Amino acid sequence: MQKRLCSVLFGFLCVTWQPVHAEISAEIIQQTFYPYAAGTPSASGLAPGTMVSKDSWDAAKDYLPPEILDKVKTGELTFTVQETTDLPVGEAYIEATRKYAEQVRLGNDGELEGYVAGLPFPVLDSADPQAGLKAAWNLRHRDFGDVMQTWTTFRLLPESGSAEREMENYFVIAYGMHRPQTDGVNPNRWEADGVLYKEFYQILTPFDLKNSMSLKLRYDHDQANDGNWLYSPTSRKIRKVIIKQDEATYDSGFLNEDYFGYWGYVRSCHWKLLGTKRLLAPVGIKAASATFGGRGNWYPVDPWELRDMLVLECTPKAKGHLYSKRVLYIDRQLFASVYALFYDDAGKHQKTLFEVYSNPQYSPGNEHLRVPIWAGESMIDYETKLGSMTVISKAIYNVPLPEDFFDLDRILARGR
Amino acid sequence: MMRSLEPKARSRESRLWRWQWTKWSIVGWALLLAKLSPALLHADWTYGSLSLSGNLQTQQLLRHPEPDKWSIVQQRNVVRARLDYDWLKEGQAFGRFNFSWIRHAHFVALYRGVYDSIYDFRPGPRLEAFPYRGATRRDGTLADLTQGAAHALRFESIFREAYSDIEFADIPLTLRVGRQMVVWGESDNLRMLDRTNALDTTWHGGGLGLETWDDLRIPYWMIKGLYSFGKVGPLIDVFLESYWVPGHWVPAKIGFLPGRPWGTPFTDPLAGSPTGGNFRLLDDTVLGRHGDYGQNPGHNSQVGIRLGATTPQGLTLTLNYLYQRIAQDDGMNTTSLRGRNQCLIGTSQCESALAVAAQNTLLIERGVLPAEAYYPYVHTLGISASYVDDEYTEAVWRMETIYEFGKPFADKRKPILILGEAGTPVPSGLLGVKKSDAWQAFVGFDRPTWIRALNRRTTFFLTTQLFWQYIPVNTRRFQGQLAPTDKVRNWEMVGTLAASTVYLRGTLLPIAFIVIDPINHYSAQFSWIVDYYFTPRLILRLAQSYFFVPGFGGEVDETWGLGGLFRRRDETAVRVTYQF
Repeated sequence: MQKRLCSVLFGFLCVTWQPVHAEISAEIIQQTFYPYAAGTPSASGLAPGTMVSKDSWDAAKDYLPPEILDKVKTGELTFTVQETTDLPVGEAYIEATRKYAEQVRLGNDGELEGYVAGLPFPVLDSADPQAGLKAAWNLRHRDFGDVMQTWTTFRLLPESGSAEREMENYFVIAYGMHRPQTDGVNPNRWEADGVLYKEFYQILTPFDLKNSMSLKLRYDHDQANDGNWLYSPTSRKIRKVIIKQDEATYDSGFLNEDYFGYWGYVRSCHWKLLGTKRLLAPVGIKAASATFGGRGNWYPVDPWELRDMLVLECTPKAKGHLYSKRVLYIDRQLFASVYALFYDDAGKHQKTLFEVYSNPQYSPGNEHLRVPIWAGESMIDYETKLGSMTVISKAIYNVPLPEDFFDLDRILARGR
Repeated sequence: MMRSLEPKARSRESRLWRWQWTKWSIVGWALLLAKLSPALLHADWTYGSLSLSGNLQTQQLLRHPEPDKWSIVQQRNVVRARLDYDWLKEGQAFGRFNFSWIRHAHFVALYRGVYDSIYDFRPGPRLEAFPYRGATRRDGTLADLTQGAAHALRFESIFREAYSDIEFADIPLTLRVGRQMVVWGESDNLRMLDRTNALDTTWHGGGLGLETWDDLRIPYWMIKGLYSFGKVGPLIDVFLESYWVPGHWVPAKIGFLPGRPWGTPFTDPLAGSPTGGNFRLLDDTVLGRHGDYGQNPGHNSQVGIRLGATTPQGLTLTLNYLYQRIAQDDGMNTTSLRGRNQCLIGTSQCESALAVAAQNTLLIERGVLPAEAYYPYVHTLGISASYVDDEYTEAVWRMETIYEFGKPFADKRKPILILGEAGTPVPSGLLGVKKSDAWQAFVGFDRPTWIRALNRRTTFFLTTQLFWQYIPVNTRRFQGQLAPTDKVRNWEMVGTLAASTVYLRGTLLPIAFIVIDPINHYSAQFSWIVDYYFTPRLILRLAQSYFFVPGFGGEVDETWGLGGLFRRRDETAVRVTYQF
C-alpha cells in the first residue's frame, strides 16, 4: 500500500513538476534580462560624472580588471562614469528563453541539444564544471538581432596616431536560425541548410581593394567548418577559401576569431567560467559611434558605467596558438563581450579588446530596438604598440535584406 | 668636323632637355601631390550617390639581360579614375522618375590615362628580339623611332569600362550593359574559360604577376545577364549567366620592337615591304586588329553562356559554352596568319605551281602578302569546379577544363609558293591553315599554411596549378609561330607555384611565384613582388622577374612566355602609387 502510494505520489509529482520546469521562472528571467529594473548599481566614489584617471583611480580599483586599471594608472586611459543603462534585449528573445531554455542540454560532443531560440542557459552556476562551455554557447546565441548592417572604417593605428592602413567597409550579419519570430515573420530561412548566420563584407575604399567582397557561412553545427568565399576585383572571380581562425587578419591585432570578443568555434577552446563581477565598462554610450582617445587614440572614452559581468576564460586547444588564454568580460544583460584580455604564450598580458555598445535611443533609425547596438571596437596590442580599430559610421538593425542578398551570383553581379 | 658633330650635339641637347623636362614634370607632380595630400586625405569623394576614386602611378621598368647590364625600358605614368553613380534606387531614377520594376541601377566608368614618358627621352640600349637569331641582327633601339612614331605611342586616354548594372525588382535578373570585361573560370593566369576579353600585350608582355589582368584585357561593348534561380532541388546558388558582344570584338593586340620594348620580343614580321613601310595583308585584314569580317553583329558577334551551382556536398561547379573568334592569346601555338595562294592549281590561270608562285610573287611586289589575318570562330565547351577539403588536405581544390573545336594551325603541307631567284617555285614561309580540336585542363589547390618560422602571425597562402593541353591529331604537319624549328606538340604542360603572406601590420605584402614548363627544357619564370604601404594611400612596389632555361643554352621554342621566349628579358620594376 505504501509502495503504491509512493508511486501515485511520484506520478503526481511528475505531472505537477513538468509545468513548473517546462518554463524558466519569472525570477530567473528577471535576474537575467532585467538586472537593473529594481535600481541601478552604485559604488562609493563612482557617482555619475566622476572622472577616472591616473589622478583619481582609487575608487575604481575594485571595478576594473587589473590589466585595465594599470592603463588608467599610467594615464593611457581616462573616462568619466555615467549611470548604468538598462538595456534589455528583445522581448521575443526573452520569451523564447522562458519557453525553451529548460529543454537545452549539452551533448557528449559538446554540441547543443534541444535548442530552439533565446539564451540557451540563463542559469549558470560556476560550480558546474560545464558552466564555461554553457557560457560560451550563450555567447554564441546571444541576441544579435536578425540582421545587422554597418558601414565602418577599419584602421591600423600605431602609437603616433597616423593610420598605417585604413579601409572603409560595409559589413552585414544576418541570422537564419534560432531567431524568435516577431510580427509573425519567421526569420529562420536557412534552417534546412543548417546555416546559423551569414556574413557579407565589402571593402568600399581604398581604390586598390575597392569591391573586394567576402561571404561567410557559420553553420549551426559547431563541428562544421565555416564556408568562406572571396571575390577579388583584381581577378574578378569569386573563390572558395579556407580561413584559419587563429591567424591575424591582414597581420592586424585581430585574429580572425577575435571579433566581438570571440567569434570562433566553440569547440576551439577549453572554457572556464571564472565568476561574476560588477565592473565598469563602455556600455550604453549616448552616441551611435564610439569615441576613442587616450594613448594612441586607442581607448573608448565615452562614459563608462557599472555593469554586472561574467568572466569567462578560453584556453585555445590548438598547438602553436598565439594566445595562452583569453579572458572575456561578458555583460550579463546583453551577453556580449565588452572587453577581453589576451595573454601571449608566456602568459603575459598582450592585448586588450574593447567592444563598445550604444544606447539604442542614440542610434538613429534603431531607437525602437532592444538589441545591443554595436558602436565600435578597438584591439590594443601592447607588444606591437598597435591599435586595430573599427569605427562605425552607420548601423542599421533588423531591416530585412532581399532573399538573394547572400547568393554567390549576387556577389558576382555586384563585382568590380 | 664641326658640322658633323653639330647634329649629334643638338640631338644630345634635345634629349637632355627632354629628360630635364620629364624630371621636372615628375618633381612638379610630386610637389603638387604633396600640396594636395592633406586636402585629399580628408577629402570626401562621395557626394550622395556619386563617388570618385582612383590612383596615380608611375612605373620604371629596368631590363637586365646580364647582372651588369641594366637599362631602362619603360617609364610609365598612369592615372586611373573610377566613377560610381547609383542612378536608380528603390525604383526611383535620379530621385525623380518612377521605375518600380527596377530595384537598383548603378553606373561605373573606369578611366585610364597613360603617359609613357620614355618616348620623350628614348634611351639607346639595343633591344634584343627573340635572342636566337645571332648577335649580328640589329633589333633596334627606342632611339630609332621617329618623332612622329614616338608621339603616337606615348599617350593613351580612354574610358576602358563604362557600364550600368540594372537589377530588376520582380525577377532575379541583373543586366550589365556597356563596355566591360567578363571573367570566368577557376584558374589563375591560365586563359581557358577566361577568354571573353582578348589581351593587350602592348601593355606588358611578360608582365605576368606584375600587371593586373584588368590592365591587360581589352574591354568590349557588350551586354551580360545573370539570372539567379536560387535553390533548385538539392542544388543551391544556381545561376545562369550569358553575354553577347555585338560586333566590336578585336583579337589580342600585339606590340613589336623597337616601339614596344616591353611587348613581344619580336620586330614586326610584316616590316620590309618593297613599296616602303609594312606589308599589307589580303582583304585589308590587319594582324592583331581584325580579320576578313565586318565589325557588326552579323559578322562579329561573340557569345557565351554558363550555368553555375553548388551541390549539397559543397562542390561548386559551372558548365560553360562559348562561341567566339579565336583571340590568339591563350598560349597555344595556333596561327593568326593564313597563307592564301592567289589562285588554285588547275584553274584557268594557274595551271602549274609555277603559275601560282608567279601570282603570289606579283602580289608581294605590290606590297601585299598572300596571307590574311585570320580569326575564325571556335566552339568552346568547358567545366570549372572547386571543392574544399577540410579533413585531409585542408585545401581548396580547383579545376577547369575546356574542349575547343576547330583551332587554326599553320600547316606545313600547305606552303605558299613564290618564285625563287632561279625563277622556280620556292616556299615563302607562309603556310595555309589546318584546323584541329584541342583540350586544355588544369588542377590545382590553394592552401593557407603555417610556416611559423617565417611568419608567426599570418599563414602563407600557397597556390599551385598543373596545366596541360592535348591536340588530338598528328601535329607533325603543324608549324609553330616562333621559328621554322618551332614544333607543335600533342602534349604541353606547365606548372605554377605561388606563395604570399602579410607582414608589418598589413603594410608589407610579398608574393613569389615560379612557372615551369617541363616539356620545353624546364623553361621557367621566377618572380617576386613586394608592395610596401608607406601610408594607406602611398604604395611602393618592387618586383623582379627572371626568365631562364636551366642548364640549356640552345633555342627553346615555347609559347607560354617563359625562359624560352623571354630569355634575356629579366626585369626589375619600381612602381609608386598614390591612391585616392
